Parts: sequence; C-alpha cells; structure tokens
Amino acid sequence: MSHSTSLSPKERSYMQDALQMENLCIAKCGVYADQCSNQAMKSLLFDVARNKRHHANRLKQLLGNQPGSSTGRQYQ
Amino acid sequence: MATRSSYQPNRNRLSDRDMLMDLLATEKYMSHLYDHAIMEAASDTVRDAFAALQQDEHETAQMLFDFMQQHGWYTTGANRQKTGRRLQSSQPLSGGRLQRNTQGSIPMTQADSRYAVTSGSRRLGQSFGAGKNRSQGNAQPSWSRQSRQRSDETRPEWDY
Repeated sequence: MSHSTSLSPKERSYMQDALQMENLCIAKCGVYADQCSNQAMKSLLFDVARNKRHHANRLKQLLGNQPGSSTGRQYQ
Repeated sequence: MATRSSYQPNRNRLSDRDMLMDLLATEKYMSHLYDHAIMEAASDTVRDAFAALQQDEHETAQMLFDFMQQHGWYTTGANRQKTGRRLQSSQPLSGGRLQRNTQGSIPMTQADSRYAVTSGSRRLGQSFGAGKNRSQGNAQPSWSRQSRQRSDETRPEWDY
C-alpha cells in the first residue's frame, strides 16, 4: 500500500522531517534507557521507543518504503 | 532539591530528570511539527495519518509529564504543585472545569480566571483609544456610535 505517488512535495518533506525526528527519539530512548538508574523509567522509555518505532514504520510506509527493506536508508 | 537525587556528577552524563526533560522537549517539537504537517496536508489520507501521529505524541508527552510529576521532577510552580493530585498536598482541586482527566495534570484555573478578568472588560482598548486618538473632553466610549460618527478621520484602524 504505497501512497508515494500521491504525496505532494510538502507532505513528503514533512514526513521526512518527522521520520528523522522519530528515529532520533528512538535512539535517545535507547541511550537513556541504558544510562538511567530507575527501573520504572527504563520501562517507560521502552514504551516510548516502541511507540516511536511504530510511528517510524508508519511514516516509512507512507513514504513508500517497506519497513524492513533497505530502501529506507537515507532516513536511518 | 529533589530533582538532583539521581544526578551523577562524576560522570559526564545526564540525570534521569534531564533525560526526560530532553525527551519532553523533543515531544513538544514533534507536536509542533505534526501540527504544521496537518495544516499543510493536501490529502485526507495524509492528514488523518498526521493527526493520528499527533495524538500519539500528545499521549507520549502526557506519559512523560505524569512520570516526571510523580517524581517531582517537573517544576511548574506553585499552581501546578498545589493541584497535582499525586503530590502530597492537602489542597483540594478548585474549579475542575478545565480538567481533562483524573491525573489532575492540567490545573490552569487560577491563571485562566486572572486572564479572563483583565481581557474581559474592555477597559484596555478604551483607554488606549482615548489617550491616543480622542480629545480630552470626549467622554464617549471608543466603541459608541456617536463617537465613531464624529471622529471619522481620527478613527484608528482597529476600531473597525
């Protein structure tokens, strides 16, 4: 289900920005979960990261890239 | 200060609180990003997708905020501290009109009423208009009909 052909340049641009930010957030959640001392906070960060991963996959899907494929290279 | 309970000064690391502050700031940024994206979306599919993501950002930010409030890591001043239910405060919530959920995390009734009073009466516009554009002896309110007809040339733009 690729919507890439129907995306306007602006929509695409916003999606790429959002995807970058989502990925940054996933990375930060991972780093912070490693560093934090609080077990409850760790699980909170994992929850957030899982949520973000879901977002990133959704955005990639909208951009026309399959979540697991190598075509999403520039957004990783 | 309780916010530094998990601070590790010897290592060059963020405290738990600062990590969450950073994530919350990121959430705020992304919420703005999605807000703009929704406004710029051309198709319903894209708009709905952004709106769903935006909703998720709000929920994530809420989770982070609740967690920080539980640990006393969010310094929102006396107003929030007093009305936050999870803090050990004996003060009851006053005027729950704006409450969105049972967490009590959006208590803004005090500032709200204060703003409503000052901007509700039209004193500010009146004195501003009178001082700047009317003669001293003109006792008419700036929005009255006679005043408008008499001083057509001096009528300021915002009077329309």
